Amino acid sequence: MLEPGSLKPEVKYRDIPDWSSMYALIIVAFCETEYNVAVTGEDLRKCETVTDLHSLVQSRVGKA
Amino acid sequence: MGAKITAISYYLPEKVITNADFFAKFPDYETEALEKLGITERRRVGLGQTASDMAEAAARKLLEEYSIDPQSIDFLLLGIHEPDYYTPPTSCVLHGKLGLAKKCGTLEFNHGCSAYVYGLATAQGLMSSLGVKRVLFLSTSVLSNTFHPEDRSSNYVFGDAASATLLEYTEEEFIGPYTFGTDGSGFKKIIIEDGFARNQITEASQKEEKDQYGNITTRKNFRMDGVGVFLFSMRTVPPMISELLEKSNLTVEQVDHFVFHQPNRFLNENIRKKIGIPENKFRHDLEKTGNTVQSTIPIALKHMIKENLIKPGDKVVLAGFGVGLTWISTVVRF
Repeated sequence: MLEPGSLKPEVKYRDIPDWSSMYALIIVAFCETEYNVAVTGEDLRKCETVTDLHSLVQSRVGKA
Repeated sequence: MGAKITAISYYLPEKVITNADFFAKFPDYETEALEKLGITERRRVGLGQTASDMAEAAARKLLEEYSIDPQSIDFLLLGIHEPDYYTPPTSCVLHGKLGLAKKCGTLEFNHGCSAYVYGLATAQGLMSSLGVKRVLFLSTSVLSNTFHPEDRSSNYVFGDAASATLLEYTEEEFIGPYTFGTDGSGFKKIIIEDGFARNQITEASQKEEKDQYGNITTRKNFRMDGVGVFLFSMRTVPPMISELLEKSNLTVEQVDHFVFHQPNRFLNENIRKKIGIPENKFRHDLEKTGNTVQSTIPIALKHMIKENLIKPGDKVVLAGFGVGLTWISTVVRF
């Protein structure tokens, strides 16, 4: 588990030791329910950092 | 002219794989977040035990538990994706093993996680078109046979099991309406690519591929786009249920129970919240079995019946969704 405050924008999420398909599902579910934004497996593969992911979700908000 | 579910039994093979067993083999896979999936153990068939062996065992349990005369069955329906033979149909093999009557018809189909509800619809159709009175509907899965040993996700989530349901003709209708659909463009999201007519087994079929989460599979093994199927389910199931409720003239409040296919607890919890179903009406039931594909719904229903949670007259919404991609839902009155 990550220490609170340790997840910085530049962190490459796939390098986090705990990274697994479970966390991918948690992120996908969160984006779907909170923002109505679809994040696919391909999106997660192409993005590298937390910032990449944030930018991608932000670009899709409101464009169901 | 209608159909009613009058009996349900299920069969689990003996071998239990607990989470402790699993993490002993894959220590890197263990993470606290996995608890969200809601699975603590899953079963595996014994050596040489086939899907049809399990279906036979479930059928025998049903016949014995409810004192059903096999000769009284006039149709055998089977939901299966691992037939015993290319031909003849496994339902015919089972017909012989169970000692069913010659006047009994047989039919089988492969619709994975949607199979149970499609099976109910088919049984109803058979009753109204062929005039059958008693349908023995079996479902069975040994999907674990198709997993690569290093595909941790699939090995963790899925369990082997079979179920048997008796449906009987009634004057009054107890099942329906239905909403259903298919998205064939998504067929590759849950697939075993090589080994049948489209792609023969070649050397390329054995080539191991590791996904971004460290799960290994090949073209001749089971492969699921977990995130893709998760998104499909989140976007398809809630509108399907809304449509069903409208068609049935029911609100969430008027439904007594929601018993969906059980892919994992995390997905179903997200679906539950999106639809706005209260926790006490929504059944989670895969802790000791994992995702048993066609049998998740009948296993859950059987448990609820045993726990006296379903009362006569209760309205239960059932929903199946998954491979194909397919989806179907209905309202069952008990």
